[in-house]
Amino acid sequence: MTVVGTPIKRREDEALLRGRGSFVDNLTLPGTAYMAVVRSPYPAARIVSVNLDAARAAEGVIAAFSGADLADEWAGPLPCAWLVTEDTKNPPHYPVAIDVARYQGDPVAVVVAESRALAKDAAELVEVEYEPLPAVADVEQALSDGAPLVHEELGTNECYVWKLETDGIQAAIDAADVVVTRRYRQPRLIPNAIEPRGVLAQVGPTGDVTLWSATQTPHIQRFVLQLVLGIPEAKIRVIAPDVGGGFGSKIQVYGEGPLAIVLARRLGRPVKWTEERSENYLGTIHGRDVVHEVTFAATKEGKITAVRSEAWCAMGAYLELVTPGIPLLGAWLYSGPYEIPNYSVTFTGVFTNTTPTDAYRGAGRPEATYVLERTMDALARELGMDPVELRRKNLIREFPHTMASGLTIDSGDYHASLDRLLEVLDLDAVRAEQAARRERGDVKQLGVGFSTYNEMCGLAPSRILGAIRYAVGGWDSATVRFQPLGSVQVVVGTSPHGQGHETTFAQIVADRLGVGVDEVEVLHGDTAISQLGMDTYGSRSLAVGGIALWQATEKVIAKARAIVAHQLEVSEDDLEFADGTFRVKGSPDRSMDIKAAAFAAHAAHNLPDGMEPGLEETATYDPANFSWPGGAHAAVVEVDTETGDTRLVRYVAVDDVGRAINPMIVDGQVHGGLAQGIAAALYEEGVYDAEGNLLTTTMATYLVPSAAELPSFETDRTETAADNPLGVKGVGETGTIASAPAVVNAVVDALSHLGVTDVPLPATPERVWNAIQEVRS
Amino acid sequence: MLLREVEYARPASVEEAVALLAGHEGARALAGGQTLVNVMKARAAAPEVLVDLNGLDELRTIRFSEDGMLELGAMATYAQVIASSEVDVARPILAEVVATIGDVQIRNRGTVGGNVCVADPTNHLPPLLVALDARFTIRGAGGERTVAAEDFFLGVYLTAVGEGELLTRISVSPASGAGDGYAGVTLGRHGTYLANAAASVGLDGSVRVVLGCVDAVPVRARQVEERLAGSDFSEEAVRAAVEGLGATLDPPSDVHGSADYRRSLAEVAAVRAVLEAASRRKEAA
Repeated sequence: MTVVGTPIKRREDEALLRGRGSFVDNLTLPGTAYMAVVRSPYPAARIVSVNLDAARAAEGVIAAFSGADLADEWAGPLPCAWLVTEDTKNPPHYPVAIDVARYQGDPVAVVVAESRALAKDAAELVEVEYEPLPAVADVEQALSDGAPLVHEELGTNECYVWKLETDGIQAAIDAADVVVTRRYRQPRLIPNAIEPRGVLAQVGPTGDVTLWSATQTPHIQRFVLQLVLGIPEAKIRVIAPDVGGGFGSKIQVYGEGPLAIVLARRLGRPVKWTEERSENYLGTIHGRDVVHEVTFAATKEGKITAVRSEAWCAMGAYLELVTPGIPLLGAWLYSGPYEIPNYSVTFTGVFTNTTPTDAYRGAGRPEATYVLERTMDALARELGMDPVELRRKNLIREFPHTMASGLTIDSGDYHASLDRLLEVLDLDAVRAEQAARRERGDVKQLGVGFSTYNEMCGLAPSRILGAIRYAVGGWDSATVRFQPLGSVQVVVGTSPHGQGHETTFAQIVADRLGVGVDEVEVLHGDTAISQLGMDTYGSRSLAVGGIALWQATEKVIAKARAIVAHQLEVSEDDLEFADGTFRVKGSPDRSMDIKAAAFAAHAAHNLPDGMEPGLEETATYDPANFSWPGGAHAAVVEVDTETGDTRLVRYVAVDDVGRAINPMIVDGQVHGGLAQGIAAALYEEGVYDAEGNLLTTTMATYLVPSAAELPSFETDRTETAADNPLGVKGVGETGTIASAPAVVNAVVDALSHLGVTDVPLPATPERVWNAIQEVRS
Repeated sequence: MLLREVEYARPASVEEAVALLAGHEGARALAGGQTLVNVMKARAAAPEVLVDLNGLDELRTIRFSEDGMLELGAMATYAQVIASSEVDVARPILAEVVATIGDVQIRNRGTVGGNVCVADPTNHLPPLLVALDARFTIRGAGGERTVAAEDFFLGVYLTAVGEGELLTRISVSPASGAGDGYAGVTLGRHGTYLANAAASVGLDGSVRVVLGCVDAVPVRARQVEERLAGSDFSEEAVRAAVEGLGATLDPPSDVHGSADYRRSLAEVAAVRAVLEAASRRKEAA
């Protein structure tokens, strides 16, 4: 009886599907008061005065405060945990702006009332006198001479310059037969977790704090709350109940959490805040917003000899938790799955008067993979080579493989993924249909695009994180605890928000311990229960947390083995463990099952000398390497050449994510990831006007695709074992990382016979139409 | 959902609804709520009284009038139109078009009356109903009046339905051999339109071509209609008739598309709508 590798249903789903999930907004404590945040309508403005009289006099209002009123509450600003260079500029950032608002949506005042509606009504009565300042929203403009400064005192909008370069890069480019240089703009993306953010804060009689938060990172929240509030971590409990998606946007420690705690302390009542959707567009981090210039050098036979990338990355108005580090998560992926001997990557972080950017699904890796895979197609065109052949020619063949950029990929078989992709796709049939349509001159043309990719996730080896100036470690921890009567409690340091950890982790433990999967209970998301953990982001939960769990399970088995050996009066080496039972080698009738060992451990009547009672073990795992999934994707699109309207008709994804613990959950992760990458390719774009006003503030203007826009995905897998005890790799972000370039490559392919070589992101009908007009004129 | 405080009334008859609308300044009729409720959530509008029409079954009927007109009650949902055998027999284009609005939940809630009374220039039905020469029956305190489609749409979010009045039904003549066509480009698969066009070609060769999204109200392409008089409706003829249409238009630019792009789309949509209409006319003949 093994459950690992089987698609058992997610134990999380019944409650969620029946509407019985417990999200922060469902929780109310006796006496709860409700907070509303007043936000700057200006992208940049001096706050001249804040008049709270009318708001304070309004029905049901308990209190109202300006940023200046609260300035003394903060022990420190909201910290950034990843200052990527020694001189990275990190201007102070407080939960409520005090003198200057620096983006549309910057909090400037707060109102607390007896209900959420009354708080919102009163927030509209707050009179803020602003003196509008010049603003800049575009990264390139922000670096130009005379651009408005987001932070006057810095004297520049440049936040940092970070570089990774091998020796001899320029010589390699100079010596190449073919050099291709391309520029790409990857627009801002707005994460749009279906549950918006929310917090509920309670301060106890001894100053102890409990914060329920719609977060991916209860442990990190606790740590940062001490820095912002001066309350010792030991007195802070953070609980992430059911969390409805995050995609990176719930990693950060936003101002509203500490704000709710301060207000709860001042008012002596629990304080709750639930973000509105329109507020989410302004107040929650955005992703991407990067301009790249990329150069590829190659021999005329198509062997790539060098890649050089320069990127200008929007930080937004302030640095959130890991804002400057996001590009670095892609810094080693500009050679992707290819063997490229010369390598140069430069990132320039740029402040703009916009909502801060930070991690959004893929975080740095979709940006790198997009420019890499688009430029692969550009190079193939330049060489007159088939894009699949160019890829095949350059794919890494042997593993482990140490890249020119210095990191080592532990495992993979990129050729196997590509072979399987072409089989599932039936490329010859697709090309034949494309040729027929071209021959007939059909209005609707067909295109096929590829993306062979790898990515680094499973954050991460703590030493490497330290070397690239990340403030904390990348380990994780887990506890496995046998209850006296044989059920198993698992406590993990990861914090799921849709990933299905309770199911996947129970499968792993049940199989190894030989107990029923329903006998394993998985606890998470509460720092009072799970003391140690580094939470969930960067596809790390299974690749790091899952290994910690494996190790804790092994420690439990080792202790049980000692108990059984003692009771059966044999040597530990004489015992073999399978299906939940220890048997004496050669005398299989002499046995004791692990549940009996658990009871014996708790009864403690007859334990080896010196052994502590109980059967519970904790393990902490710090990975030796990143996790390196990879694969090959293809998109088939149909483009209406008269209107530019583009429809994705097929999407094939062949991924190597190592061993799949629950194939259904893996498919689900791939599907969701694909949807978000396809969204970036065809639909989603956060648009600021030149003055810094966000124009896309609802789902009517920011087009989040639904099932209607997406074909039935064709997913398949090839498998190489990762270098860890479970052989697993991260899967949470692969779809997002790989898919956008495949789709845009397909759009360009559909129009290549007309002479189109590029379509900007996202490939909206108008952009596709423009590309056609340009080559026709 | 944080609306401003609003009074709510659920009248039991059309007379009562009209009285409520007439009796309160700032009263608004609530049909399917697919637009109004969102506008209220955004606090872009804050009616004082919401007059909920959902109890008025008499406004949900789809039937033929005594003189053979297809009558759609203003509160008929898109789902009802899609399922209606009367629509299928008389003017199937109506069902085809509303079947592409939003998703199943929206089609179960959204109404034909709501779609036209919002008078959003990017909505599906306004250009179609002008192309079909629909009649709009409006009830007020003084009784009923009927307005032609071309006189119904007055501006963005503005129609001939005055204060204290209620749209009660939309009447369309049966196709009687005419062919109807509809084309355009939506935001995503089932969103509102970037540009759209509706056309109707009668058995006698009469043509109506109407564009959406290019002005505050649906625009009849009269020059195209004139050029197509007596046409054989070959693709060449239709393209020639539409040639230059875009240059006569002054469409808006927004985050989804520029005016130039909409000019081009209007031409493509007009060609496709007319060709579809003409081909269906032949089928019917």
